[in-house]
Order: sequence, then C-alpha cells, then structure tokens
Amino acid sequence: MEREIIGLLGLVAVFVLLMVRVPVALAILLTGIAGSYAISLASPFLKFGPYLLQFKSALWNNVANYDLSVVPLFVLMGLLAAEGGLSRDLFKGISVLTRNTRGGVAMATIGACAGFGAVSGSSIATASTMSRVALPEFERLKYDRGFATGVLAAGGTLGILIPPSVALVIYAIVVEGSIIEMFQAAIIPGIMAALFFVIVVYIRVRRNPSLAPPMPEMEEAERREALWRLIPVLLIFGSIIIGLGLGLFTPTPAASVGVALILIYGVSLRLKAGKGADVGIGLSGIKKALLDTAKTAGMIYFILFSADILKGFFARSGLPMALSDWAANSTLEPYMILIAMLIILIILGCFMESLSMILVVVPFFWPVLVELNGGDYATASTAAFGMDADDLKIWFGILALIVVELGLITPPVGINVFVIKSFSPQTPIMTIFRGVMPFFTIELVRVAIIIAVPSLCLLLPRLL
Amino acid sequence: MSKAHSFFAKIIELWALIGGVVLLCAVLVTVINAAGFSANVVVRNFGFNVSGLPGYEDMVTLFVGFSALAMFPYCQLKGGNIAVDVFIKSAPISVQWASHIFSSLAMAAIALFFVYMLSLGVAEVKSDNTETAVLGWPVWPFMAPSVISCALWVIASMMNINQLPKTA
Repeated sequence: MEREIIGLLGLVAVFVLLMVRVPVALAILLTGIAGSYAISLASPFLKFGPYLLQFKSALWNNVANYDLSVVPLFVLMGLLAAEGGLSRDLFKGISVLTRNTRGGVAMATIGACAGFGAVSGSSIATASTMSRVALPEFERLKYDRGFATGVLAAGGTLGILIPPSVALVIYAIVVEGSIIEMFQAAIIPGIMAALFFVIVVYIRVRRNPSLAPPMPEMEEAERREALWRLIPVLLIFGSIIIGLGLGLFTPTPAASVGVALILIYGVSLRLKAGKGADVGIGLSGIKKALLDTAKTAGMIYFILFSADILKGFFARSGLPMALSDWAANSTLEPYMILIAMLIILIILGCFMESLSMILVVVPFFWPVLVELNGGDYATASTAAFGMDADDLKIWFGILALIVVELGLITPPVGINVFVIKSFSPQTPIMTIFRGVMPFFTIELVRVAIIIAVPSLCLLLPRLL
Repeated sequence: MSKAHSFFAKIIELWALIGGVVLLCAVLVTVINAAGFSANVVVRNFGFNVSGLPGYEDMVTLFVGFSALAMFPYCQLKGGNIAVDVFIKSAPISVQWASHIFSSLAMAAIALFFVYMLSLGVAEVKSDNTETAVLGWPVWPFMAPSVISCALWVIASMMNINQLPKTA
C-alpha cells in the first residue's frame, strides 16, 4: 500500500476514534504509533524497532521543555485569578463604569470576559467562570435570558485571542513561529471582537429595551468599593497583557510574574479579611487551583505529546508533502481554498476542542497554504496572498483561531452554549443559540474584515 | 468506594499536589530572575550590578518536566482528558461501554508502555551522565519520578473502568 494512503487512513482513523469518544490525546497517539507500524510494513527501510526506541526519552523531552513551561503557568494564573475572585472584581468594577448605559451589565460582562479570558486563555473556562459571576446579576436585574446567556457564550470566545492565550502559544509552536509576534498580532483583532460585541449589545438593547432593564442606583460606598477593587485587577491583568503585547516580557517570566502577583494579592486580601472570609485566596484555594491546573495542564501536555507522535507518522507517510504538491500544481483560487479551510475549522469546532483541532488540522492546512502562496521563499510582491510566509503564518493563525472559537457557539453543538446551559438549566438551548446568533454574525463580519485587511494582524508585529 | 480506590485516589492527588508545589518553585526561580534583571536596569545607572539567576532556564525546564508528568495520573483520574461526546450520546449503551472499556484499557496499556520505556530512558540518562547545559545538574533525578507518574497513570486508568464518563 502507498504510504500516502496509509496516512489518509490514519486521518480517517483519528476521526473515527474521536467519534466513539476515545479521548483526543489517546486517539491521536494510538493512530500515530499504529500508523508508523503500518508504514514500516509497507516500507521496510522505515523500521519500527528504532522508531519505538524514541519513547525512552520522547515523553520526558516533550514535557521538560522551557518553551512549553508557559502552558501550566498560564493555566495556573487563570485558575488563581478565578479562585481569588479577580473575575468577580473585574465584572463588578466594569459594571460600575457602565451602569448609566442601558445594557451596561451585558457590556461589563463582555469587558470582564475579555480581561479574564486573556488571563485564563481558555474559552470554556472563561464562559464557566463568568457565568458564575454574571448570571446571578442578570437574574437579579431581570435581563432577557436568551440575551444574557448569548452574551456570556459569545463573551467566552474572547479568551482565545487576547494575549496571553494558550491557543496562540500552541499555534506558534505548531507552525514554528514566534509566540510574541502571535501575541502582538492578536491584540487588534481581539480588541475588535470585544468592541463589536459591545456594539451588538448596544444595538439590540436600543431596538428592544426590554432585553435589559435599567440598573438600579448603587450606593456610593458600594460603588467606591467596586472601583477600588478594580484597580489592582487592572494593574495585574494590564501589566501582563501590555508587557507581553509590547514584547517587554517573554511568555514564561510573564506567566510566572502573573502567578506571583495574583497569589500575593489574593493572599493579602484573605489575610486582611481574616480566616474563613470569602475573599482572596486561602490555602484551600491554592490547593484547588493546583489540582485544577493538574487536570487541565495534564490534558494539554498529553495532547501536545500525542500530536507530536501523530505529526511524526504523517511526516513518514508523506501525506502533508503530497497535499502541498497537489496545491502547488492546482489552479484553484487561493482565497477560495483559504475560505474552505476556515469553514472546515468552524464545522470541526462544533464538536472538537480548540487545541486538538489546531494540533491535528493545522499541520495539514499550513503546507498547502504555503504552496498556494508561492512557496517558502515567496515575497510579498509575488505571493498569492500578497505577503511572505512569515506574515502568512501570523495572518492565518489569527483567522484560524477566530473560526475555531466560532465553532464553540455554532449550532447545533457549540460547546460554550452547553457550558452556559449547565449554569442556567431553566433556559432552553434554542433560546441560548438565538441569543448567540447576532454575535455569530458579527464574528463572520470580523473574519471578512481581517481577510480583506491583513494589516490588522500584521501591523503590531511589524511596529513593535 | 473501596478502600484501595480511595487510597490510590489520595496518593494520586498528593502526587499531583507535589507536582504543583514544584511548579510553584519554577515560578519562584523565574520571578527571582526577572526581579534581578529588573533591578539591574535601575542600579546599573549608579554603577552597580545585580545579576539574574544563572541557569534559571535549566531549573524551570527540570521542575516543569517533573511537574507536568506528575499531573498525568490526576488528569486521568478526574476525567480531564477531553473526548468528543456529541456522537456517542445517542449510541446504544453497549457501544458506550465498549468504547469506555477500550479507552481505559488502551490508556492503561500506553501508560504501562511508558513505565517500561521511561525506566530504560532513566537508566540510559544516568549511565550517560546527562547534565543540564548551564547548571550542569544531572537530569536523571528529575526524570526518574516520571516512572512513578506513569505507574500511577496506569492505576488511574483502571480505577474508573467500571464507571461510564459523564457526557455534557
């Protein structure tokens, strides 16, 4: 059997295993090992024995990696922020600032999702954390449930793009790009997303004021307290985001400093409030954050390792090379292929987790795009997309991550929607989907704008 | 829950917590290094010099390597390894059980394979006297606990075999 056919069968096997609920990391690891065995049978010079010997050190080498140390650190930072109530402080503080605007709590939710999502780097974590914080407030103020849950589901998607984001780190590693440049490239599209969502809220509430009843007056002391608590949160989140965006820190020190600042702030809040108080971070909070980090980071590391093994199998099969050769010789319109890839990512995003998708699918798409663009050495003036391979890497990464997250709110199986549903069981799932649709539409507009104006992604990496 | 189940669950949790504490050590050395560099930016104007922590990247790499693998068994025990629920939800219960048992056994087999391969790897790294690039620390003492991590991973894979995972 041809090696490329084995590669193709391997790809099919991954999806079959995923459909029968085999854990993602296990599905791709099994396929990687079994596929390499099948290739060794088809091509005796690719021996299986020496291949197996790499496992003496492969797992250790994969996890004992300085570049990947940002993964557990960012995860821990997000969990400590949630544990220490920073997400609640952020939400309450922004609510005070937007209290005079109709729909202000929805806008504050989007702002808090953007801020917290940046630190947690995960859409699902953002959606669930902010649901706990904002849903009681929406209920208290009698916001329309479809509207409120739609805001939360859409707001949760902001986490992936605004730096620091684990997904951006993983993408940069997959395409061998610069993590810092990816962070810089994501700033403008991330701010655009938050702004567009706020505009959607504003328009919807203006057209139908019953969606968001006005906020009752807050007491002066309550207002002052909320604003006072917002300052350290903004300083901590802001210093990490701006420092990374401007390239002042590299990712690992930024994440470590973030963890340390949040710990110091959270513990001092607890010490000030006294033992047993419900603010800040105590020992049990630290323990919970460490264990939750183990659960999340363990999953990410296992997927990263397995994806490396799968990548090795596909490289042996020659399938990515065959695809890029096909792309180089085809007469297909590059932009049509790009849009087809984005549509595939949206569809896959409906049921696959974003990191797994980046790791499994992007290694196939990327070489095809490079060839369609004119190859590794294409210059901006000769390339099909009007940019060299380095810029293409950044631009495609941002587009891919946006559409991957779009899948999380795409009917019928957007995962974020189901997360929100678990926090608001009385809201029918179709009501949440209806609430999400305006945000979904504006996201498509954002994707179209970024396709039409790549500078929105490329400007900051060039300037900074 | 049987006594053995509860005993191993506690061991796995403790192991993950040890991994978490080591991760905090990585945070500490990175922060000290960053503080050293930042202080140097200020004091060098006055003719002084504060250095960062030499070889901190080596320390972070080893600490995170240990810590990451210590997380695997806990992640497995708590069902942290994500899977696609969408299609299996509507499948007959026998298919759901078949898939779950296959996944648990395959996971245990993979983890067992790593116990064996990493044991060979640790022995090789020890006999080669492999050291870190800057600090010259031997790698094997940090790598050896990964064998324990994988052994606990085998146990964690088998602990929930009689229980179907919850779907979203």
